Amino acid sequence: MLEIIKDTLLKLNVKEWKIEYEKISSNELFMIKKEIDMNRTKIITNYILTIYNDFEENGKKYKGSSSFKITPETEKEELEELINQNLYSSKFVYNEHYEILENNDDILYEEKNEEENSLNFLGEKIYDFIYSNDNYEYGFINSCEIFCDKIEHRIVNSKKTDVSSIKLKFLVDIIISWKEENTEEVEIHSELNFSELSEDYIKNNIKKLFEIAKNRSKATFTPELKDMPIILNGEFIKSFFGYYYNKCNARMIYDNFSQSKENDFIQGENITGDKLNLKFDPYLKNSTYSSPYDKDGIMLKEVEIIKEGKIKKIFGNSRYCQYLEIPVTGESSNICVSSGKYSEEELKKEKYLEIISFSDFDMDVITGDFGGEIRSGYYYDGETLIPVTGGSISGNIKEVHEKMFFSKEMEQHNNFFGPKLLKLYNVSITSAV
Amino acid sequence: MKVENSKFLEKKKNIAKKLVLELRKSYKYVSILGMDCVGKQYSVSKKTTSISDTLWKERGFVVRVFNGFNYTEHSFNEFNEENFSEVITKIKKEVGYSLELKSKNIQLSEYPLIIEEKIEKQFFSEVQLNPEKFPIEEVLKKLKDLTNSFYKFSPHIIDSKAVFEWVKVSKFFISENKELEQSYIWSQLYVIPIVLKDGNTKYIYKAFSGLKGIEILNEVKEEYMKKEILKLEKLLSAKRIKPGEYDVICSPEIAGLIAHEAFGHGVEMDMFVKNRAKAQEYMNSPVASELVQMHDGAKSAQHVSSYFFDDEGVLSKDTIIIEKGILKKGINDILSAIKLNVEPTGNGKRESFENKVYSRMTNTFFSPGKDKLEDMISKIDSGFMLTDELSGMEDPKNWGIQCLLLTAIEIKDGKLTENYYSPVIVTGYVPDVLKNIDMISDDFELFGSGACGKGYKEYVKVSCGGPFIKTKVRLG
Repeated sequence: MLEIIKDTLLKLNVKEWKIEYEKISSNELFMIKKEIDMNRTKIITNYILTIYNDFEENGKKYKGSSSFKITPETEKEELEELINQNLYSSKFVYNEHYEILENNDDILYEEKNEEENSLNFLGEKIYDFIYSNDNYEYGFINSCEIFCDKIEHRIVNSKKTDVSSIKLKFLVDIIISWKEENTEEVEIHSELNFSELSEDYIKNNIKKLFEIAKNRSKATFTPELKDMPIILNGEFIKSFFGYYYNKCNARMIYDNFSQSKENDFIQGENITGDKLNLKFDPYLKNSTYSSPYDKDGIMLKEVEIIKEGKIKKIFGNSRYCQYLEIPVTGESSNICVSSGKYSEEELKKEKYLEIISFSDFDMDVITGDFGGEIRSGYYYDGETLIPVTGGSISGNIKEVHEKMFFSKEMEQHNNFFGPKLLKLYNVSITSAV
Repeated sequence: MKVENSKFLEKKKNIAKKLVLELRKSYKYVSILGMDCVGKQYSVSKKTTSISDTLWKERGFVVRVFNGFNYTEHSFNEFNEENFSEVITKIKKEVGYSLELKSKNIQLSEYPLIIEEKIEKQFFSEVQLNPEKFPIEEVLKKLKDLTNSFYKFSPHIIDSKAVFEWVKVSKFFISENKELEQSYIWSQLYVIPIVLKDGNTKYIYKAFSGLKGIEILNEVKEEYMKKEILKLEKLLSAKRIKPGEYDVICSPEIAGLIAHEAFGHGVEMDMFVKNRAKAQEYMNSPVASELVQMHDGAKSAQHVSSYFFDDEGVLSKDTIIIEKGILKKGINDILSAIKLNVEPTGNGKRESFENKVYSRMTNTFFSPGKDKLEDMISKIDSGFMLTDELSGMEDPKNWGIQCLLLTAIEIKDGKLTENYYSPVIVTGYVPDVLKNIDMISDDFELFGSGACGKGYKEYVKVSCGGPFIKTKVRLG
């Protein structure tokens, strides 16, 4: 199909183009308690073709583009029609001109997994790792979904770029229930995303989820708490730091969603807490987003974005870096944040409210507003650790980031590697009573 | 203008029937769903324009087979005479695999056989202006003119964006007894003005959607946008709300969000099968004020989730979930329905042919009441008017509710003030929120611009809405 698309582009005299090919082979298992409720497979191949079109008007150069999906069932005649339609559309797209960059690296990147086996075999392994922990007196796995994907990916463009990769991607979507005598049954929902099969990683995460469910079952409603520091936990920290990552992205700056410049102090100038160090690492192990190249086929390497609270590099894809007239870094979604000066124990010395699980934690990367409803957490009153649930927190990152602390202990949540805990002050807490 | 059927699906109907016949020799139930969804997304802002296929574009097939205990599925998008035997072999292999699992001591849950009545039907909707045939340059010009028109309303607008998307959905469902075909078009338009003042950025999403075509581009009225942009200006200096419980009036958009998160997700009956829904224990019990009536159904309204049959070939219905405050019925996919021995409601939906079916909402709403909005406001001494949804999250097991909103406007002594608060988190216990509803307006509006997930994935198109409702919630 790829050759048919290339031949048709040549026939129709399309000079600049990009083809993104993806083939996903997948095995899926859906469980209710321990029983398999459904098994599914899929084999899907898609091609995304982008057509570029350079033109001039009133002495100004523009680059129009239009992109569309092609499937293996797209017939030759239909393909020609689609290319012609999209070529025509691209003439009305008045975008500032940029160059399609060449990449002659010709790379084939293949992630090696210790378990070079069939997707069915990998699915069964994951099933075993998950359910080996399902033996609590009061807790049980209510339901679980396992997705094992093998993804073959390739980007080819008219400037001789030809990069490809083969990788595995796993997703476990799980509900843990907990019911003790004379208490209401509670549940915790979580997703685990990973690219390497690790027994310890799966088992430890499942164990942790049982602890959270147990905590929620014993919880009392979050009391009224004033001027109480909060501690964020786990993957919610990833959403929080997403604000800084986005503020330094060339696209956000070009689109006026961010006013950041290199050498700005992104946390403000009077930092009394830990200073932020943030980078992207395209090769982060066990991340489903790891890739040596980005969506334009640009080869990626580690980029230090923020150092000691100061913006070191604005990053972005080829088009937006050219617009800002800065070096092209390419884009990777793997975010790494350095640890802070205090240990978990030190961060938890004084009174605090720790949120283990939100219904949904929302961080607006444009305004910096954040918040969410508390599903499960702990309130430490200086003497006792009290499991709590209900109520919510809300704040704005600009009001909290001069004094925030990151734990020394580090954790990974798919495409985020950073502090296990984040301590914030000046956050509004709404009680549940 | 009648929406035409997919030529691609018309061509594939015979081979799909051949597949059903072939697999029926080995299995007691076989169905195939063919999907061909096409559409475009156009986006215009101050400095950039983009044209791409809609993210909802898909073309492929999913086959469901009864394996003797439950059901096995295979999704694929290459299907022709040349690879016909290969597809059959793959499906048989996967059915075999499910039985192999049993031999490894992994239990399979058991489902009855799907029994279907004979039916053969075609359904094609209508739109005023078919986007498939509308000139692209005119769409882009309309969007550009629209975004340019906002700047005069505020000196603080730094950008304004408009995104128009249309999708033509075509599907066939073929089994031994069913042969169904449908095509319909929905579209949506977002306009997003962005303001910046003293380093503070705010933006607002205003959305328009429906079973419509290009005509939706004419629905944005200048007066309406002027009002919204003036509101946005006020949000630049909005205060943070003092956490607490308040009397509130929810706009139709927020009422819809509450309906969706509270008893929409709460009565998806695949959750009953998993024993994950508290609602199961409350069937035929009071869960809301007597004023409350709540519907869901592809047939309940004409909006973005109005189809003629669902992704399992069940014809659409109108389900009354809450009647006079009593929880009456849930919504289901066919496997949940046969497992629970209840009537199918036509709510079996897939994100795409690549995904599994779940019980999902369609058009979910509170019915209008008899009150006037002015009277409702006048009844509040101290409280808030809640508008502008940002997001929501369900908690079907424990009946918590979380809604994140952009705007709360203070109501003081029965009058709306100019005091704005933003953003706002609404939390509460679902029955408390619904039982506290004491006034419902005679307005009615549906909103269908977003997508609904099951947990954090499986996004499908839904609409929700209703009238203004007066209740009591916790705000933070």
